[in-house]
Amino acid sequence: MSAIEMRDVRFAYAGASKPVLDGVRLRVEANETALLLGASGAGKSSLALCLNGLIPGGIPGEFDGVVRVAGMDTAAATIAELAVQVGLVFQDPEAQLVTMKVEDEVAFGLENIALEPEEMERRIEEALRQTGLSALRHSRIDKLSGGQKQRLALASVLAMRPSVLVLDEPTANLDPEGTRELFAILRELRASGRYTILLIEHKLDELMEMTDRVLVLGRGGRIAADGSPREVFYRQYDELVQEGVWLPYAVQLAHRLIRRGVPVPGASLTVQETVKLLEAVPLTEEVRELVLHTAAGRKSESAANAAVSAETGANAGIDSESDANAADGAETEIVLEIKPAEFTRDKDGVLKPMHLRVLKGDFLALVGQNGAGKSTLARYMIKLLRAEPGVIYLQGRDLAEWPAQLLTREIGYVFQNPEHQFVTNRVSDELAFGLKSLALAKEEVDARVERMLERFGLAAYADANPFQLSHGEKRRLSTASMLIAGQKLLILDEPTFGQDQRNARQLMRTMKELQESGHTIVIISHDMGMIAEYADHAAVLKAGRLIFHGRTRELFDREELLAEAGLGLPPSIELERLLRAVCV
Amino acid sequence: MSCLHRLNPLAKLLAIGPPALFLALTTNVWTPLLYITLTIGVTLTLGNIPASRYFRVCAPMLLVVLGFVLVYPFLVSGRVNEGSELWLDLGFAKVYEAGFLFGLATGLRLLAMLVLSLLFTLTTDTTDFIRALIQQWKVSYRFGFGALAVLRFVPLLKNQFQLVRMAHQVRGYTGKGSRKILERTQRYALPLLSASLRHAERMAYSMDSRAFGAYRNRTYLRRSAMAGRDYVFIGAFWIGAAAAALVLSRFGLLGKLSLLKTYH
Repeated sequence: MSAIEMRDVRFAYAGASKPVLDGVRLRVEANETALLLGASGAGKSSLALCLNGLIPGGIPGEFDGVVRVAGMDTAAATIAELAVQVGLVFQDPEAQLVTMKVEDEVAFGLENIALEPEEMERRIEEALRQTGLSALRHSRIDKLSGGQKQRLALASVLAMRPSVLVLDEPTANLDPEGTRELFAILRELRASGRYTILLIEHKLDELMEMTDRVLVLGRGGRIAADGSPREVFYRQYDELVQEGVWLPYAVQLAHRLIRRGVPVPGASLTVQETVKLLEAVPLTEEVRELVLHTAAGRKSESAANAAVSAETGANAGIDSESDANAADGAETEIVLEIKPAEFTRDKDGVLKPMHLRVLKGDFLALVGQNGAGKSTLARYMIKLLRAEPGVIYLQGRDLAEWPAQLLTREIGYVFQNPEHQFVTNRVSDELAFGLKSLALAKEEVDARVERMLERFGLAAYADANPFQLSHGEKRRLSTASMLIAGQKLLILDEPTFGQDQRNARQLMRTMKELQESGHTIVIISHDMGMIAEYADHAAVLKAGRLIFHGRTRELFDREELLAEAGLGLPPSIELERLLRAVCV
Repeated sequence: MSCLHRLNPLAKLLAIGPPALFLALTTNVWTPLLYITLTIGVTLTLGNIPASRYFRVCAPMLLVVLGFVLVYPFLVSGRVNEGSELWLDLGFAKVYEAGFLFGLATGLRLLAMLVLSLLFTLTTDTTDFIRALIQQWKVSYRFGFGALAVLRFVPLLKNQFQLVRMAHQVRGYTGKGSRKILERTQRYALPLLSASLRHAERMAYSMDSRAFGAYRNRTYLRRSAMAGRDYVFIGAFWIGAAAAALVLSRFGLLGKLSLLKTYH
């Protein structure tokens, strides 16, 4: 008997014009770990909600078809019956924890199913042990990190002793360290042989070794691919690219290599496998170079790269004189400079004094764990937080002296949630708003708005309400509105958060183009693969201190520093390492 | 954990209830003053609260008391001031001793109420309180957990609000000017409302998928019940409050008791 079975499931939310699920058929066998992929908006979360009976039980809409989980028909079973068979973990740690203390949270579900306190005690202890939270049993939830909260959410469903676990993008809000820890727990749960796991994720590289099945939910609301990872990623590659889903790095690399004439035998899913497979091919210098070149992605030699290539090879640390900071600033204009002085007089300020220079035309990534001070630093840069005079300089002038109006014309800041930035009810007004302070003629405003709409692929939505756009479109609109006044420095807070691969890639390419046309880009991100591919420089923060600023390449050479900052190597760099080791 | 923290939340509520009601009846300065002193003493010693923290919480209320003292003498009706000593003659208005004392008494009465409630709020965990309400006073658990969810959401909403304000600021949207209040409210409300709805929906999913509301009765990991020390505390607190009132009346300082004090 399959642990999960869906037969011709259709569901349309009440009031929606077309169904989000339209004839889904799938089976997941007991103790399998299956990955569910799909573009954003494809209906993955709705599918997850079908598995514990919230659809059709609790969410209004039109439902049709049969869902059987652990032998129960979800339409016939009660919520309580399902809750002890299916555990759901959601994306946002804040919105799924109900109580104020760790112990209470784990007890919550057990109390609902009316267990005796002695039994609860046993289960709480076990669930906390499984998730590595035993030491935090009596802690307050608001003192936990995002990763700990997510582990707690997992613990609170594990305590219900379900046989099926469904996790809906559980690491989306976590930093690399939190993600690694959660995945490690999932690996152990899988190894225990007690759980059938359905995982909705797009950080695939770390999951390949523990995935038995891959299911792809297509845009049409139907399963577009189903099979072992190798089958799906290699036989239906083009289809998946078409769908816009995230793909494992090794798979993308293999396809790129094949296109360039390097035959990769077999179907590798991880870079370790790729390297092993390549060993079988006579690895000539030429092939190796080709592989390395392909692995590095389409990173272009941009203006900033050229500018800083004059730098001495710099083992860039902050105390080293020859770091990226100190690069011959005489030749390259410094857009933004932070001088090593206290940001505020406030004793418990997050950031410690640091010296940081952002050169014109640079593509800088701010990285570090959640809470390290990345957003705080970015907010100082645009004066949302006021630093003392003499700390931050924009174009050589103290930020404290810049009038707010002028500043918004120089720096654009794209927030993580694009909705927060909308100030009008029409897409085109949204863009025109940014031109207000320039006092342009109406024709000029219209022309500029038109150009921006074209450039960001929003022309069809000029009259739409910003709130009605899709997630990717909202993001594009908020970015466009931050560029329209001619801002030359653009700061983006987690720009690819919640985006599917197609949208994310498109956005990053736009950023690269902007950089090439003379803009300076600063991004805050956890996605090391993306940083390796696009960013020229990286600044690493740890507990409010700047512990590294230099070229991205050099950051990846410093493993102890990465470990200290809770960061990891992206697969492209890992591949390069392994490959070099093989060839020596 | 101090003695007060360990007490059942409902015991503390029961203890402060009658003295608070009695305070509402008093009209003079001495009763609230004595109650304030005694309650602060109990809170600081049995509750192990640092005096500095206590003062920080109280400070805004002290300003309110001061406000009453400054404003009341000008507002009270002639009946209150009748036969009272004239303290200050500003020409357009006169300040009598009785009017001043009346303002002071009102301010102190409010402060005394606050001080009593602080004994409860400073030493009680919200979860414990809600748990006790559900288990002992049979408040519906759906309501209890609803309240808890709202409390959890308040800091998140505050955070969201700050984000929205910053995001608007970056766009050069100030929304300044009194005529723009409506527009500004709408602009802030939209993203906040959408975030709140989303949050509420997700919270409901998370609760439902852990069988919330499956049965009419829940069990509880931690039982909430009155213990011997709770009854002792309630009794002692009541006796203390009554004794204070008796002492005051013996020295003729209790003053007139009255529910309605509007002499305007």
